[in-house]
Amino acid sequence: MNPRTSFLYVLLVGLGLLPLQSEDGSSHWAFQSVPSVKLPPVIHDTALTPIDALHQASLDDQKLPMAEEAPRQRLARRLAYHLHGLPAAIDDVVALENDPSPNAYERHLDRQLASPRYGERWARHWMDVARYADNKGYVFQEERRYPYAYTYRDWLVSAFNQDLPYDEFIRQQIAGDHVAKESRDPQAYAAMGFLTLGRRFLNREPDIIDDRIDVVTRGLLGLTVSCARCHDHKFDPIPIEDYYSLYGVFASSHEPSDKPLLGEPDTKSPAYQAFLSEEKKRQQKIDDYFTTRHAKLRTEPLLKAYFQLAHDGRDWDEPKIGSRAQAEKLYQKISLQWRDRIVKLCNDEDPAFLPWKHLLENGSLPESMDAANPIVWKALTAAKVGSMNELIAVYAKVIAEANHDKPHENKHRESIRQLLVSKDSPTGLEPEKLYRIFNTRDQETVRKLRRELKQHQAMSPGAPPRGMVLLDKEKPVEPVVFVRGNPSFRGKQVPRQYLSALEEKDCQPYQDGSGRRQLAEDIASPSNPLTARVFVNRTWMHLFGKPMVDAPSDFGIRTEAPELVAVLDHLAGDFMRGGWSIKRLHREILTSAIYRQDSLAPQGAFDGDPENRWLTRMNRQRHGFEAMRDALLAASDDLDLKAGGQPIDILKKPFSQRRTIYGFIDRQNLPSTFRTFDIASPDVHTPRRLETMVPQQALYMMNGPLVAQQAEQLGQLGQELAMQSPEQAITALYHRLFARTPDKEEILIGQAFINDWTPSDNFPNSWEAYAHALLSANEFIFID
Amino acid sequence: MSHHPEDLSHHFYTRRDFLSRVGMGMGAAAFGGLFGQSEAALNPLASKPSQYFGRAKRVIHLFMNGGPSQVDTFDPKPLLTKHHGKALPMDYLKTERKTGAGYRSPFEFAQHGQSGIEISELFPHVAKCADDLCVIRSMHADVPNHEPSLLLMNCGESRLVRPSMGSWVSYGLGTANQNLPGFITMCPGGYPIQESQNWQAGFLPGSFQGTYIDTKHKQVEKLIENIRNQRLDATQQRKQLDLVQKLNQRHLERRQQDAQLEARLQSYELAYRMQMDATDAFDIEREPQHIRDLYGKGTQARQMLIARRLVERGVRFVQVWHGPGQPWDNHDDIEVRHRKLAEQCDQAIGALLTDLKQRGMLDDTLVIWGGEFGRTPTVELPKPGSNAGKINGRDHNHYGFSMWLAGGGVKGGYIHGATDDFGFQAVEKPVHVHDLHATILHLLGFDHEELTYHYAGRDFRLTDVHGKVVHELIA
Repeated sequence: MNPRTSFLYVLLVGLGLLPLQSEDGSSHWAFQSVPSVKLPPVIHDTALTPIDALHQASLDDQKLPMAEEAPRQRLARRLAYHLHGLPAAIDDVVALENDPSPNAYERHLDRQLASPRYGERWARHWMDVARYADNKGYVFQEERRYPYAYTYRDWLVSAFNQDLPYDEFIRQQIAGDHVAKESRDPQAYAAMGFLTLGRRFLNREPDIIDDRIDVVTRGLLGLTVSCARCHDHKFDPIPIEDYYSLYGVFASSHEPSDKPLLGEPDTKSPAYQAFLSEEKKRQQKIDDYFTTRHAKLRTEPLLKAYFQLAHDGRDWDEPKIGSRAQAEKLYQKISLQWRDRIVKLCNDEDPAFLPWKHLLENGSLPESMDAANPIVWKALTAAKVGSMNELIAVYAKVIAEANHDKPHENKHRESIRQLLVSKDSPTGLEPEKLYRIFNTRDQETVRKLRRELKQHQAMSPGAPPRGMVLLDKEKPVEPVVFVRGNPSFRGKQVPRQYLSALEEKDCQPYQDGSGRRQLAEDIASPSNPLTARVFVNRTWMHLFGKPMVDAPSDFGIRTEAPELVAVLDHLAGDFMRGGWSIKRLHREILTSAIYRQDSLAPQGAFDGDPENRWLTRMNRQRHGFEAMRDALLAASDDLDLKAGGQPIDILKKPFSQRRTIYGFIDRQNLPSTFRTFDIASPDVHTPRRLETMVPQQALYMMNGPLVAQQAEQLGQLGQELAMQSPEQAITALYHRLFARTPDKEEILIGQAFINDWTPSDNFPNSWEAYAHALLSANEFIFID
Repeated sequence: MSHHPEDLSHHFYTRRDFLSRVGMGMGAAAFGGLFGQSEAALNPLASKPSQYFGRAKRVIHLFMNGGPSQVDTFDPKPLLTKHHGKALPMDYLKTERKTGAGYRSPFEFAQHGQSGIEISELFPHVAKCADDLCVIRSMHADVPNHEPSLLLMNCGESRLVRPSMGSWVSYGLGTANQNLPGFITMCPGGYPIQESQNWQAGFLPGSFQGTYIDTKHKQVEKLIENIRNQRLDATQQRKQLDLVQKLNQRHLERRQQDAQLEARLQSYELAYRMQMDATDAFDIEREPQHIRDLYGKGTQARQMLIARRLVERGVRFVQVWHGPGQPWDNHDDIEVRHRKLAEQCDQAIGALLTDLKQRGMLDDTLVIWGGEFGRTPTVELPKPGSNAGKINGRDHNHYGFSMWLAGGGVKGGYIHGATDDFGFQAVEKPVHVHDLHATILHLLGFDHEELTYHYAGRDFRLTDVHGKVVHELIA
């Protein structure tokens, strides 16, 4: 047991009898550069790879045994699960079992690594790191969906399949905008979803940036830098200044609303053409909504109503004007503006409004008024205006008549036109600016139209893929510390730079734009002590069911070196020396004797290593949600292996047969099925999935409609085969579900069940009941 | 039995293994016993003792979402009547929208019970239980907006992703009935604003998340996912399950003892029983007529009665929302709308209190009533893009509002704190939402500073770095 997490240790620290380790971190194991590990001499002939030598030396040291190599059937199931997240095909299992060549296992492994299914499996693991979701979380009224989140997911799949080196994998996710420009490959834009597809926190910048700092530092470095948002980190050497140095990097980047295309769209494709024309139609609808309302404001009837209210309400307070405007279906703001504008025009003795002023003040108009605008004056006299109401009608008519797109040559007419179009006119605003003038109902309509446009852009099958990028701002932000994390208490200024504790030399402020590019290089550097270790540990976790370092995203001072630290360090060093190749790392681990061990513990292993910290055997592992659902579909040969594209609803009937990774992830209301099966929370970075065993999982297997559907199909297959021979039917089902041949007793159990089952009207096929039971069995869901 | 297996401890996860599995750190382990038993290893919902003795064993939170007005319900203000239609002689506090003159309550208040607590005519049935109520008139929150205030009231933090109170309580106490979820949240016809974030588990295990039930539905299969098999009857299903277990048993025998394999085997038996129990819990037709009459008719009556049936069966935390969106958010027509809303729920809430009491359950069931904030004593002024322009409603108000508690060890017939003369701001013995949370956890037997969860490098708790237990509320 690790001393620092022992109960006694906690107790002693709590009582003040032992100091809590709190150095500056200079001696902490994970902060030392990755050493080149000296390999011990190989004593056992079971050692197959360098890590076996290290592992077996530790076992000898601890006087621990190790398990036998697992039978090939188990190895084949294990590899299919670990590399593809899919059940092994019986033919592959048999081929491996019967291959006499000495490198049969390695060749099998290489075939598996080359399959496109590999990228889908490992992309999903990384999506846990990246808190992947297809929408923003709670938003007030805007479109909630991220239309291009899927391009990040697809980029991940392809990055793993192509074995993109891990340093480049990091570079593109943090600074894909730079990479895309340098390499002229726009695909790198998609990688930046890593930063941008988090929650939106009602668009509060400090929270959005905090989320990005968290995903970068915990995800890539295994450091909990977000703890330093309000004060220096309690345990790790991360002062608050470091947090705001990184804050500055992200605050110096912006998200353009026009996302860059990931390549030229195929302009000839009918889907794209259909997308464009529908997009134009929907945009036009929005434009029309504004322009018609805007045009109406300059028409005689509306001008008359506004003028009348401006006159009647010249001494009213705002609420009273508001109420009357509401009653007359006028815009409140425009009403107030006309009221104030007319008062001002009168006060300024504008030639057009001299008669208005005169009549208002004197009750009648004079015989002549030379200073007045002649067009206005002529109209007034022609109409023999004697009252304000008559005057208002004439003004509305004259002014409406002067409305025109272009200036009039007649300067008097032009000055009347200016009353409508000048910047300070209540009707001088751009049509779309009317939005903030609108009442609730108009605003709702506009929002609806805009949502429809966004939905089309998001969901149309012809919408060209784009990248959710960040770009450097023209002028980088010089960050300051927010005292106690509060943006309104601005403390001292800090440079944009890397974490001070991890920089060997003195920290140099970032000079290149926001500094994101330099941040990426600092993280993806072979001299970074954390990057490779953290990634190797995550990889190990997915292959062994448990990480070496218990807290995969916290390599800080409170986390002790694992028992097998030499294995971790060797793999990390080798990973970097091998050009950061992820497939090579996988091969290194998967060819080892450690990995090939059986899950049956040898004599003495339970006593000496109850928690399997030393890997005296393989850990038995249970399917996560994705692998389980994929296995259900694969059982009846229904799995649709189409890769990539916009996400689909996988919970709705009729059930999609696509792989689970392509299912829509709703961050705001994560469906209970996902939660029940411990899928990673899409809210924040997930270091390690929980593995609970709750009855709701069993209910899903017993009563869930997808399982029922699959059981029905398998039942039909069973029934057909049983016409030949029941034994053959049972064998076929075992092949499909467990990738092995049943023994005699299992066949007898199956036959007894079938014979004993009383079919009912509701449930005529006893083979279906049998298949359903097999799907529910432990063997279907556990990997030895 | 003389034969012992080699070492029983192999059958189960070790303590450390489990702690890392559910992501708990040292803090929680140190306070001890949370997940002492091995069965807890794979079932985080197993019932657990509280840290200290707690008077309350379970919670029903009646959420009047939208924000009921305190001066129209539990906080009478005669001076406001005097200043009706006039500017109040005070500095106006900034709320979401502009408000104008003082606006008297259109509802009559009267004293009730031995304690003489004043309650408006909106809640005649609740008023009959006045002596059980612990009315807090001095609640206050942080901002006058729904979203942050809902999150604050539910999760103790208005912006970031944090577990909800129900999740914390399930984490601390587990649940007393493994055949039902530990934390159930009911809202008829849809979600409140901020949706399922209100009952999120945040970084706690997903099984602590509130299970949402749309009480618009009456059939149990629409209420709980996968609760019924549409085609197999109970006997057939049992037979099928026997086969599953036979296969599992053989599978297990060929391997060594393994807690995971056994736990999954057990979970099927649990699920099998859950089908019956859950169906029973939601079926209010099984209640005698006089009890159904007590609660009255309609959706509110149904969901209050379900709430009682759930806590009776061991569900730890039940949250009952009035309706989707924000029903109590009456910026306009407060008289008409508040009256209607109260009519919908008053009888059912009164019945719930009475019913719990007559079953002897009120002593250890904490009932909480309130919204995310209250409303202004001043009238809201019309503004483009907001209300309907009628000048007869109230704006949001987080400076002072009323909530009440009943049962679970709180002082009945007691009024705590006060707002100013007009009901705008809490001035006497103010109780912040964090203080309320600290007090609720205290009633359940927890020190709010010690119910922690280690996550992302630090120990989190419901009250973050705030919260003081309000001891005067406790009997």
